[in-house]
Amino acid sequence: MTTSSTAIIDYKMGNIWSLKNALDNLKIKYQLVSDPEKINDFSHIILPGVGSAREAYNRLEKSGFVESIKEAVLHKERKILGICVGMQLMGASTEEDGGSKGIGFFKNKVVKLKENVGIKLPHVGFNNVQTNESVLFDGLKQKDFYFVHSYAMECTNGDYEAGITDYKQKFVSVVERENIFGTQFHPEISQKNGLILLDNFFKKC
Amino acid sequence: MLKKRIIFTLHYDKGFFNLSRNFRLQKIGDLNWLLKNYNFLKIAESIDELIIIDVSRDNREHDKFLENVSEITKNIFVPVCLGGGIRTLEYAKKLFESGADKINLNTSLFHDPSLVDEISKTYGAQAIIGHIDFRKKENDYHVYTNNGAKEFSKIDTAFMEKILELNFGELLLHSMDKDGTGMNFDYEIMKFLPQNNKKPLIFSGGAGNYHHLKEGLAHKDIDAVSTANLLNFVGDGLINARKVMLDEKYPLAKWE
Repeated sequence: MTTSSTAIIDYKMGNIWSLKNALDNLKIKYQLVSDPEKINDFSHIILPGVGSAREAYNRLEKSGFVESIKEAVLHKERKILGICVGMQLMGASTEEDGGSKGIGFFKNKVVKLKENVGIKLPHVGFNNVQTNESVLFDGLKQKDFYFVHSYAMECTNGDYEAGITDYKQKFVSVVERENIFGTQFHPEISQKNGLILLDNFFKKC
Repeated sequence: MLKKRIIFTLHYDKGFFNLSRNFRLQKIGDLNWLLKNYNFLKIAESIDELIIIDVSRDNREHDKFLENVSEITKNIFVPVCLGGGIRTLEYAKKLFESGADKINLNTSLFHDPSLVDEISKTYGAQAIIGHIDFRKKENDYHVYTNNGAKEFSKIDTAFMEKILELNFGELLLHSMDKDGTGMNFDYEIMKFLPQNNKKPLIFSGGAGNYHHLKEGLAHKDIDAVSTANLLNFVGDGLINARKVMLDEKYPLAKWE
């Protein structure tokens, strides 16, 4: 790794079109990477994900990405941003689709949002993120972002739980610890707010 | 708190963007017109979501549609939903690979419900909007498919319950009678929705001015309103409407 460059992990889980558009707009250079050995060549890694978290974890594990991500992030200080299911995979486990373990960067479990509080699922649309100190939110006065999901990380009051969102129940919407970042929302389709957050990840993290 | 959404819908037909009035199409302009003259990218900074539907009545040209979509969406940073003529998993896949965050299913919802399962298995239910075109006939409401050309069924609560059991994420109700008229949404259709409906609801057809959008957004059971009228919110129309609504504390997202 000599210069700043970005890998988007390509494991055929969901739409990366919008993400590519956003990075193009920010003039961030990126490559789609499907070979787990290659991610150490990059300073920044994005782990996207849409659909079933269990299926996503299975694919990551089978392809060897789980081990290579751990190595790159925990031993080689590569910066990683997980988006939506990509963030959920950073937890200890998910109960979606019969259940699965996660990569385990955080001890939190990913659980289905509670419907009995009178909500509709999926949780879809822009919602607010409550943050205190967070590099990702540097310079952002508006903190509304686009969510579309039915499962989320449980709050445990960890100091890395950098963003909390309320949908008649609180869940972790942003994680941030040293070189590890995750957002439950989709910054790439969250208007200017999301572009600024993505820019922060590349320039300030 | 979850915000409500203003959605813009574009009706595409063989190279042109159209005004639809009771499902009769009027060509307004091509891609160049949309981006240059209409300044759509500016308007897109004031919407929460974009739906683009290929409403071609015959021989849809999928590749040309997707070329247009790609030109529109590369500088727009909101969720994009694509629809029109989705009959197979292969075409749905193509749409997801060409920029769709979601797809809009209408005719297949009724004629091939197994397609909903197939698509949701791969992409998740949250990636599918179930779209119902309805029209009032005497005192009853009926569902139409195939761009409004075929009557499918009378609507009652049991019918709605059955449709809502399908594995899609959001329900879009579009009034064909109000389509393009600017005469306000048809709220009467709400009486057929089951009390325990858990799917987010998008209301569409008839929004002629920002008062209509406000009334829709204020309704407790409606999560998003859609306008497809290229001429009602021309210029700064929608941008100003959003500003006014934010000033009046309507629950809409705020952006930098």
